Amino acid sequence: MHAVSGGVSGTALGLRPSVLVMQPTTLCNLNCGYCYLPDRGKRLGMPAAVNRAAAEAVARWRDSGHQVEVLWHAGEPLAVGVHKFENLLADWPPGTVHHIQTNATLIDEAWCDLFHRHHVRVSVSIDGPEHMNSGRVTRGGAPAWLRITAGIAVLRRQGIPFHMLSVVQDPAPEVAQLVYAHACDIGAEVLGILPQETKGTHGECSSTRKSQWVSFFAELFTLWRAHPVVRLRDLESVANCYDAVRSGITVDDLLDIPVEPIPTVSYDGEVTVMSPDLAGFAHPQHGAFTVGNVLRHPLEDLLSRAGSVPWVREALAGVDACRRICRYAVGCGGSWPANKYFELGRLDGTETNFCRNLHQAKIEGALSCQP
Amino acid sequence: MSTLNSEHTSDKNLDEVLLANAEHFEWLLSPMPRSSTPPGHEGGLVFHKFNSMSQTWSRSDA
Ligand code: SF4
Repeated sequence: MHAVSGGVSGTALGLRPSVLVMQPTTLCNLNCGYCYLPDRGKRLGMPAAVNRAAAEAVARWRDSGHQVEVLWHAGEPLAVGVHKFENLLADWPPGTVHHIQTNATLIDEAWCDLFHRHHVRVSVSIDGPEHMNSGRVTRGGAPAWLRITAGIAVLRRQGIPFHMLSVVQDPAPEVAQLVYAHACDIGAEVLGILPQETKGTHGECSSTRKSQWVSFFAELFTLWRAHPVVRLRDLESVANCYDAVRSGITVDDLLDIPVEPIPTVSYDGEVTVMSPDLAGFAHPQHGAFTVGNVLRHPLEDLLSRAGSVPWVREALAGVDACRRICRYAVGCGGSWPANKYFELGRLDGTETNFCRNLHQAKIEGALSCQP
Repeated sequence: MSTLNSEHTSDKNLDEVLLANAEHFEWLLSPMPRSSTPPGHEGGLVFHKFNSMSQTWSRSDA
């Protein structure tokens, strides 16, 4: 029996997260063309009390035998500075697994020392070779490329393994070749692909574009099969689905699987669930995408009540609809409320360009790889 | 080979398509190392949560 919250729609929110997302600052030192993070130009930092409230919840979960990993994300986490970040980490239970998503530009020896001591798992955002990063610029508009590569060079010198997240705009097979070769060149351990999201465009049908993404993933997976050097997150997720199906999972089982809550704690303590990408945004009827604040209520209480918050109920209805009607749901899970909201204008929708181009296309790409 | 290329119109669900293409997947995925962790509930099914690289999957042997 799963502990769940809500469930009016049939699909319910899980109460015990596997990952907690922390926003230590809204600030990003870059100003990438495709970034949609609100407040990324403001330095709004997380007070110690917010950090402590989240850390205490993770400690309570750990004491009950449940491990929660922490991802520092949303804004550039390294922009808080290494000393402040060290202080934030000091409040977390020993042994907590910390991940960081960074643009790499601020990485130096002091940061690497912190990564070593706290066993922080690092992922860098780099889209591919230099020309693929032309939209990644500093606040002054200068290319960020040299600073990104300098940060990665420090990671490599210090022997810190890292993952690579690539935002891809042009899903041509040649681009798959460039991105995979670049991941191999820079020594990434794992590569993940993120189709550039077109938020707010209300999803025109894009079957042509999806077929391009299918070819992109087919090429990427074929390259990996011939030269399996850098792990591919997106093929691993297809493998996970294939293995689960072989062990007996069917679409009929999907409705019973709780939705991963992914609590995201914003700098000010507000908690968003189901997608970190909703943090800082507001719905025209439901208001801010929050379920409460960790300064006022324990995180566990916020999660147990979240299923009855109107916008969460609507998002859960969207997951439920996906799991009932979409044939890809066993591979996707249907819980992508931010993409549904930004593309379709509603949380209870189903198919988006984003899900066609990533979740559907990676499965079809895997099916169409050729020896 | 069965595919899913006609969005929402085929009568086959993904689980059936994956099983029908088991030989293909065994070939494609064979370089992926397997761990001996048995799948938990839901047959080890873990959905992709959101777009961060904190989430990876390792194949289980069971
Ligand atoms: S692929 Fe799209 S429509 Fe299908 S379950 Fe996922 S989000 Fe829903």
